[in-house]
Amino acid sequence: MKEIIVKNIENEGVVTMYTLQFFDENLSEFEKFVKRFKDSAELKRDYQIILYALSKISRNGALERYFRPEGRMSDRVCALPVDSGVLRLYCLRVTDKILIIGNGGVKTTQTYEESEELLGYVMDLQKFDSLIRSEVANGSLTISETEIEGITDKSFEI
Amino acid sequence: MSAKLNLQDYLCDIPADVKKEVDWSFAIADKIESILQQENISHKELAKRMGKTEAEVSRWVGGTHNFTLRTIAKISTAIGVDLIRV
Repeated sequence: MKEIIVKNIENEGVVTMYTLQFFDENLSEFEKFVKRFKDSAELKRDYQIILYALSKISRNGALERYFRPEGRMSDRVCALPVDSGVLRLYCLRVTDKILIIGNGGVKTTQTYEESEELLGYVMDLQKFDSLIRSEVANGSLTISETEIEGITDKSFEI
Repeated sequence: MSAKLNLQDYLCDIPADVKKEVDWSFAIADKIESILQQENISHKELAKRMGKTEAEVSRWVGGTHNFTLRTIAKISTAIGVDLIRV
């Protein structure tokens, strides 16, 4: 089990964005993605497209069609891809107005399950999705139209 | 723990041409989706009209597709609306 906290990513749009941070780490999952790819010689442009697409999504809404389904049918894990690119940023699309951003990486295999690294990112989000669902079901968390109330004040174990 | 996160802080280094590419790609994707909804045309129907797969249509409306002029012309013809004007 790993302890995590949830951080808000402020933006100028209509979507509330969060990211996860492992308690014993200095950077959130989103910051780790940024740090790894922002100066990558090969993937810098794909990284820039993904980051700017996030800002478009923050304004337009986290609409289903902007994301590619990943994970299982029963969860809300999805990927923000660059079409025809190999870089993926994994997210949890809770609603059109609530998005939890995870880490991402290079998808060189047919499925994410074939990559230990990508599988790890997806599984972290799947576990967190399952946790949110159970906390909402037992009343510990409430999802409003634009936020998950109190989510940044708690810590979680996934 | 790291400081407060703001998406804007990560956008300042993105070159203008990348922003323009994504702006246009989203604009075309949103326009296709809007016309399809307006005309009550499903992704499946558009795919059928164009001899493409539904997965390809999903990619077009995803926002990060790098459209060719040929694809834009074919979609415009299939939906009866010019997606871009020069």
